[in-house]
This record gives sequence, structure tokens and C-alpha cells, in this order.
Amino acid sequence: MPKKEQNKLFAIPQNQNKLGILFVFLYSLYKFTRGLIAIFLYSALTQKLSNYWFYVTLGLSLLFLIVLVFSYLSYKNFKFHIDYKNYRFVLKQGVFSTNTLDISLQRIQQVYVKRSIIHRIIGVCSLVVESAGSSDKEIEIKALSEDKALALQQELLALKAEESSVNKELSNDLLKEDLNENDFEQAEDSLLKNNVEWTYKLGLKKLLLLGLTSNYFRGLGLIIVFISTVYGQFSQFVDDNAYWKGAEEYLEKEYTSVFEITLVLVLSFFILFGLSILVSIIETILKYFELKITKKKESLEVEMGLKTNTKWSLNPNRVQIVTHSSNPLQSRFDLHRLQLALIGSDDQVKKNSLIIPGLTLNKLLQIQNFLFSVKLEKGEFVRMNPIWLVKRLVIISLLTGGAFFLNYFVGWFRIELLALILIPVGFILLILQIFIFQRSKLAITPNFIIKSEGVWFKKRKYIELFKIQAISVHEPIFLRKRELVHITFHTAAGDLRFNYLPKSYCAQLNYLLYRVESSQQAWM
Amino acid sequence: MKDFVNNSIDLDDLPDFESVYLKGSVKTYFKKMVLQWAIFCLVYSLILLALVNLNWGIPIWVFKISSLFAFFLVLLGVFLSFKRYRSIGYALRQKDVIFQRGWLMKKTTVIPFNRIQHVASKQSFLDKKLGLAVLRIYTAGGSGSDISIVGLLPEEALKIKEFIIQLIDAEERTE
Repeated sequence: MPKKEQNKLFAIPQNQNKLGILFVFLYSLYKFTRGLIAIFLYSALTQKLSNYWFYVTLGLSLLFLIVLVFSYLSYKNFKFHIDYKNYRFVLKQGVFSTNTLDISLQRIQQVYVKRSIIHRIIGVCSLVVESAGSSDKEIEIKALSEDKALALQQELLALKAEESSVNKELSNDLLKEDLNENDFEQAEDSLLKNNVEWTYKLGLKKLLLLGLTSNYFRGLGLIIVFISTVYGQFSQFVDDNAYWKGAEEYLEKEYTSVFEITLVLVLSFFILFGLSILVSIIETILKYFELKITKKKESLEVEMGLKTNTKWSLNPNRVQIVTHSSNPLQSRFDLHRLQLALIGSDDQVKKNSLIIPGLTLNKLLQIQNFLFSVKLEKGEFVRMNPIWLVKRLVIISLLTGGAFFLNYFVGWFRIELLALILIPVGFILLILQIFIFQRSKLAITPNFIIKSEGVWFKKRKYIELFKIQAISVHEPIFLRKRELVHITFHTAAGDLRFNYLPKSYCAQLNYLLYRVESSQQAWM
Repeated sequence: MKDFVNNSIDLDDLPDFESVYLKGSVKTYFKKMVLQWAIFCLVYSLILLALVNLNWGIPIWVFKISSLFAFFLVLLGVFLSFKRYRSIGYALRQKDVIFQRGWLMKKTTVIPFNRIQHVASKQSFLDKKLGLAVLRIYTAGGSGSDISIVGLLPEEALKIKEFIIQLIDAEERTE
């Protein structure tokens, strides 16, 4: 028996690492500072508070003290342990009240280690346990030493696996005791061997390359969001009408010829472009810093991030949609991106998707092989009906024409300026539609649904047939005469839709339904 | 796995989900939709009447147009209700349930029984008075693939619910 006791590391209720006090303290201070910074800046600028410095200091010290007491209490009252007998993870928390959380290990979806900047400074990490349930889906143990966090992660995952296997094989309580003993040893063995098959790291050089070749529109979007936020924050304090008027007058006086306007437009375009590249690089580094993939026999561990370092332990069962994407530049440097849509506890698809960038094609295929239960096969692709393309072309032409028509009556812009912007944009959009049409393809192979899309950023999405939950066929009234339909494939981690297919293609869905309905494979 | 690799499957031999006969909704469902519409229009007219009598200086032509609009709204509502009532259909097969709805945007959803999470039958206040029921079928696919079979008789809904639950239970036992 003593051996068994040794295994049960987490049987007694225990606190977090003592540094947890410091963590909660710093974290609360950080939140307060963020909330109050605007007031401080404002009062510092206008010197309104300088007469009351005594009260301000007093108030701040009081706040400090309260936060300190709060941190201590929240550390002291936070206790967790594993109930080995009933297979439950128990958590007690609360500053003044006590809140007991009790999760069945079977319902745990995911356990991962997370590290924010504060965590790194103090030298601890937090463990996040996600479970499938209506409320309290996610719990976080905020401060644990790294060893302990990893040990607890392993323990929870091993126990979860063990319990589901016990449940499946026997429901006989008498035999359960014996079996547990064996399983513990097995779990321990696998822990000791730590059967790592391979690891993959993304170096700084590749990371820079990745940022340089990534989607600049994202960088541009981030700049726009940043500027509008800053503008919104400060417009309350600054009288901006004067600036606008000045700018308007300046523009009217100085820039009268089309050539000059073009020059300004092109110049600002290049500046914005350069900034977008910079922001994209910074974002890439922040998000994917020190990306490391460890392939073990039965799982895939992924770790990345500078600001918040997150560690995932992936099980193929949780992955529902696999997306492989790359753009021509990146594929030249052999950089490929894998996006995995995972089963979440709710409808939010975005949150439950994991992006692994910077993979070589070889590694990507290796990971795909691990994730899919069968080998990927080639299929016959179908395209959307050309009616889609015709419709898009008509809409774009109408919109461009309409803009000119409207301007003729309203007269907001000069016709040259409008032509300068609208004609190239319209033309690019037209060409883009043709490429979109060519690239959008769908195939249903014996084991997979495969969808191709994207012009510059090419994507290929894969769903294994047995992971389909339901199928919907849409027939809008305006397509009924032409016998065209839209098809949606529903999975537990989001939908995949393909539009403008001939109705005869529904015969393929009969095959798909047959495969799902005769499948004995667990989809999660 | 091995049982499923079978390349010589002929697509024409598989049961076709589109040629299945779909059972329509009961006529009471049409009545219910018209009733709901009538209540809405009644409230609309009452507000109009109240505004006329309040004398807030709203020109009378506004009310004339509003009344005309209300008249067309009534016609449109009845027409759309009828189209929706006619568009609804469902079918149970041995392995899945098929549900079709919508006239402007016809949508057909097929849910295999082995992917159903749970089933619930619901009755609103109006449903109880009229003797109607709604059967809601939930999957793990989220709101996109969940279906509500409307226009059922209560006993019909109960029967389907029990049928599906019994199938799900049987499936779980074999697993």
C-alpha cells in the first residue's frame, strides 16, 4: 500500500505556491493601474490634484494595504486536491465566502500550463483546467511551480484516461480496485519513460521571416484599431475641431492638382505599408515566441508565446477541422501554417482554435498523419457553378457604376479623383473574383471532406467524415430554378460551407450519411 | 475501421435522403401563426388609434399611410405564414432524422441518430391552448445544426422523443 500512497501526490488539500500571494498582489495592482491611469494622467496634466496630495497618498496606501490583505486571503483560502476514490478534482476558493468546485475528471476537456509576463518575473506558472459543462467551464490555478504544474497536468490527464478506460471495460466495483493498481503502474511507467518521439522548435530567424511574409492586412487592421482607440480616449480632452479646420484649409489651398493628390496618396500608402509590416512582425514574435512542439506517443504538446506562454496537450480526438494554409512567399521558404479547430465547451469557435505557424511541409504532414485516423486520399474536386462568378461580376460593376452615377448628382468628389480610386479598385476586385472562383473547390473522398480556398493565402480544410454531426442543404428561392444548393457540414468545432453546388451533388451526401451512420468510431 | 473501407460502393444504391416522403405540419400550426400575427397587428392598430386620439399634431396623412401599410402587412403575414406552414416537413428514417423548413430560404437538415446529444419537447402557452408541440433536437454541432420540429401534435412529439431516446440509449449500451 505505501507505494500507492506515494502516487497520490495531490490527495490532500493544498495551497498554491507561496509566491501566489505576490502574483495576486501584482496582478490586482496592474488591473487597478490600468483602470486609473487615465484619471492620473488627466490630473497630472491639469494639475488639479496637486492641492490634495496628502489625501491622494493616503488613499493610495490604503488601497495598497487592502490589496495586500485581499491577496493573502485569496491565497490562504485557495485549496485544491484530487479525490482519487471518486475521480474528482476539488477546488476551494473565495476571499470572504467559500466556494467549492467539484469536477468529474471524466468531463475534463483540456489541461494546459500558461505563463504571463508577471508569471515569468516571479517564476511560477498557472494551470488551466477546461471542462465541458454548463457553468464554470474553466478554472485556473494561478501560481504553481513549474514542476508541480506539470506533475498535476500529467496526473489529471492520466487519471482521466484511466477512468474512461475503466468505465468502458468494467462496471464491476469489486474488480475496480485491482485494475486501478495496474493502471497506476502503467501511468507511472509512461510518465517515467516520457516517450518523446520528436521535437520541433521555431528559431528567431524563422520567426522574423514568418512575420515578414505574413498577412499585412492584419497589421494594418491593428494600426487602425490602435489609432481609433487612442483617438477615442483623448478626443474628450482635446478640442479637435481646430485641428480639422486647419487641415481642411491647408488641403484646399495646397493640393489642387490631381498629380499632387496622387503623390500624397501613394506616399501615405507606402508609410502605412511599412508600418503594417512592422506591426505584423512584432505581433508574430509576441504570439509565437519560442514555439516548441513535442510529439509523444499518444499526444502532441505545443508551447508558444512571449506575453502569455501557453502550453497545450493535444489529443487527436478533440481536433475536428484541420486547416493547412500558406501563401506563395511562405511556401517558398517552406513555412506552412496549421490551424486546428477543437471541440469547445460552447459555440465560440475562434477561441477554441489553435494556430501552429512556421512548420516545414514535412513536419506538417507528420502532424497531420498523427491527427488523422486514416491516410489522406486524393479526391475529385468540384467547383461552384459559374453563376456565382457572373453574379459577383454584375454586382461589382453595378456598384462602381452606381457610385459614379450618385456622384454625378451629389458632386462630393471631383470626377478625376473618383476615377483614380474606383477604377483600379473595381478592376482588382473583378480579377480577384475570378481567382476566388478558380481556387474554391470541394471534394468528398472515402474518408475526408476537403475544401480549398483563398487566393493569396491558400487554405485547405480537412474534416474526417466520422466527425460530422449533421448536414444542412440550403435552397434559396432565387437558385431553385437553376437547381443549385448551398451545403453546410456541421462539426462540433464549427461549420464548413460550400455554395452554388449542383443539386445532383447531394448524392455524395448520401454516401457521407452512410459513413457517419455506420461509424463506430468515437468522434471525440 | 476495416469494415468501412469499401471502394465499390455505388452512389445510386445508397438510400437517397432527398426522395424521402416528408410529413407536413398539422393545420393548427398555420392557425397558430395567423393568430400570432393577428395579435401583433391588433397591438399595432391600437397604438395607431391611441396616437390619433391623443392629438399630438401628427398630420393625418401619416395615419392614412400607416393604415394602408398595416393592411398590406396583414396580407403579407398571412401569405408568409401559409408558405412557411406548407414548407415544413420532417421524416424519421432508421438511422437519421430529416427536417425541412423555409420558403424563401429552404433548409434541409439531416441529423444521424448516433450524433444526437439530447431531445426535448416544448410547449408554449399558445401551444398548450391549441394542442401543439415543438420537438427540439440537440447535437454537438451547436446552434447551426440543432433543429426544432414545429407543428407537431403533443402525442406525436412525445412518441418521436421516446423513439429517439430509446435509440440513443441502445447505442450507448452497445458501445
